[in-house]
Amino acid sequence: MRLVEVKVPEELWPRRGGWKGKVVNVLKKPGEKVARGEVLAEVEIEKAILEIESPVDGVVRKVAEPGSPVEPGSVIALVEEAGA
Amino acid sequence: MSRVWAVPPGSGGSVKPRLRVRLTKGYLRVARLVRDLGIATVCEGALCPNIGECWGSGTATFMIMGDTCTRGCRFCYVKKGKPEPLDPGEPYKVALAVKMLGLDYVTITSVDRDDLPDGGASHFAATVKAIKKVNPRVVVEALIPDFQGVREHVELVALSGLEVLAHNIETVRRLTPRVRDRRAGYEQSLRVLEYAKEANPKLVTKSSILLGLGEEREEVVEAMRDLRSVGVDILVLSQYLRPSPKQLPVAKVYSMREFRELEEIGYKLGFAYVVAHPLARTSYKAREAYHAALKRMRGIGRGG
Repeated sequence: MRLVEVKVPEELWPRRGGWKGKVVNVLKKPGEKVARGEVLAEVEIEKAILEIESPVDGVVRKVAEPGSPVEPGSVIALVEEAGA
Repeated sequence: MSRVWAVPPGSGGSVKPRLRVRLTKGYLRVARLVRDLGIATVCEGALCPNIGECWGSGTATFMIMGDTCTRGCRFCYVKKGKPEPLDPGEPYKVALAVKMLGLDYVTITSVDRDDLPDGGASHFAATVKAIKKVNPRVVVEALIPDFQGVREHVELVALSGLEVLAHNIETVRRLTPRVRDRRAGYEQSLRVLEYAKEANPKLVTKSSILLGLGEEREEVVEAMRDLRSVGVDILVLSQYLRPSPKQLPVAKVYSMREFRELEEIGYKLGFAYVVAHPLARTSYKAREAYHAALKRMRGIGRGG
């Protein structure tokens, strides 16, 4: 069993940190299956809505609440990787 | 990244682009390369929503002369303040980046450097020359500052060997003092575009207008006419997106239909190519715009 942290990547606008946002939509609840590439949650920043997808196939174990503040590097979900 | 528009909950109907965050190998390669070479990009500096698409396809817009701008335009997210001294090795670093990425079309821009005697014009020209020396076949597009409207400084860049020179008018005449830094000017920007074309009639010139800052439609058409009057070939129309609460709020979100209508007016006014899309930015799909413009210009027997 391997728990994978799903983060708002710091490599998005890598040298321009300091942007902030919040979780606005949670599409997968704890216990639900998720496929690699499926959107787990949406984060709103001033300029856009960012769709954060699962990097692995697995089961969602934890996911941030709508309204949670987010910055680059924030963990927004934990996914238990299937077959790992 | 997908490019669908979203209406965020509680936003009162304001529309934002919805971006799928997927950092591909290609994206990470560009990220590493610009970081290792120490070249700034406007993709990062302006929190550009197209970064995933452009970096993912192996291209970026380099921002030379540092990441700190001496101007304080009220739509822009690029860092403002006292810039670092110029890096004399930067022209070759950029030339090397172009080579390593294998680009056949490169877009470079810069911060404004009002602290330098020539506004950075000679450094800009040196960068174009270095790119051409290392990559003789690459097409170079430069989005330049206004160099305070000094003709000699504009000419230095216009004659540096580039193919496309862009300078943005950004907004309509009436809103210019509110939207742009006080050292910028609507007339001054028109003159920059005019000087460039006069110095080098073979240049393809280009300018962008950000929509949604409170302009009237007639004012947009007037700005388009003004750009044509100084020979601008490529027009870019895009939606203003507020980067953070420190910048001006969005006054209006344009529909795709309104973009199409303005695009059509642009062609009637004689632009060789019009890029009209909410997420268009000056350098977005610049290669495609250039080739389409050239084809039309040749077809109707004007320009290069």
